[in-house]
Amino acid sequence: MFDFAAAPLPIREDLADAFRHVWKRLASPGTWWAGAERVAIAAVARAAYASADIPPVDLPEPAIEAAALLGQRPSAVTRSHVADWGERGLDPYRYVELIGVVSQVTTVDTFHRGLAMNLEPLPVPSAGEPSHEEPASPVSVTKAWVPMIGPPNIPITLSAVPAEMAALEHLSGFAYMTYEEMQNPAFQRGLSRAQMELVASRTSAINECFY
Amino acid sequence: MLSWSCKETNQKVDLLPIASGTGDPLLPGGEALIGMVNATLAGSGVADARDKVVAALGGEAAVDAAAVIGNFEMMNRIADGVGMPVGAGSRKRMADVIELLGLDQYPHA
Repeated sequence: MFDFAAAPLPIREDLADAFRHVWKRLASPGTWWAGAERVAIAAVARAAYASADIPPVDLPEPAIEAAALLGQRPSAVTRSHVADWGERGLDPYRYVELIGVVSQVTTVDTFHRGLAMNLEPLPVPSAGEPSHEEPASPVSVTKAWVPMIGPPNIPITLSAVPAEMAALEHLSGFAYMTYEEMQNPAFQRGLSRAQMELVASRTSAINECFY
Repeated sequence: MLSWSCKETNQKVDLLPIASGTGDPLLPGGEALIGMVNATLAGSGVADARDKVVAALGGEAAVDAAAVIGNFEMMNRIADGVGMPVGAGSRKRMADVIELLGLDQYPHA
């Protein structure tokens, strides 16, 4: 899994390990979705991103719609969509986990696309039941569309599902930088901090995302 | 974050190529990096764009660029998926950038 021996460029081993971690979690039971459902969500998002036919999957229709729209054009998601999906049975906690799954898989896939590499096959799901873990702190819906443990802020976006919040932070720490490293304007890997922010800004501009 | 990091490290940057997708943002390898983002998200000319970054900045830079593009594909999906509001403080602090780049035209602005 994620054997980059034939990659066009040497791939950082810490990054490869972070991707393996994403795939292992993807295949495993999550907080509200089973492993097979998480892999199905990823398959829908991946197909939508490529404007391909959505594969037949065993998911509720609102989850398929949400995974497809988030996968293909996240800026098109509206409050009305989220409310409609909720009224049709996609509760906020399952929706938050779905966002986590789609977004993390998109990170891994985009990395491969950016280096002109084939996508990693989706993992074989593991058996088991979702944990139904509740956040340690109370959550509420304020100005955003989903519950969070405090006023909307990027570091707590997925806090209604702590495992997804932790997974996001873990992956981002390797693909971009940790929150601690973000305090350093001169942080450097293969790119300078300014070059990293240039890439980030252009990506967000294409996606029409304010952030 | 781009403006801040450039200011703190005494680097000049032109933000307009971020919105237009073309031109020289004045950072080393900047034009090639913007080209790699464009190609990656368009799914066209990716190997050529990657190789231009390698030629300008090296292979490690191209790998990190791909990772950062991936990271922001993730963050954009999260921010848009949860309906992240843009606070009044951010709007005030970023007013010049919002106007320059036309960020108020974005669906979630």
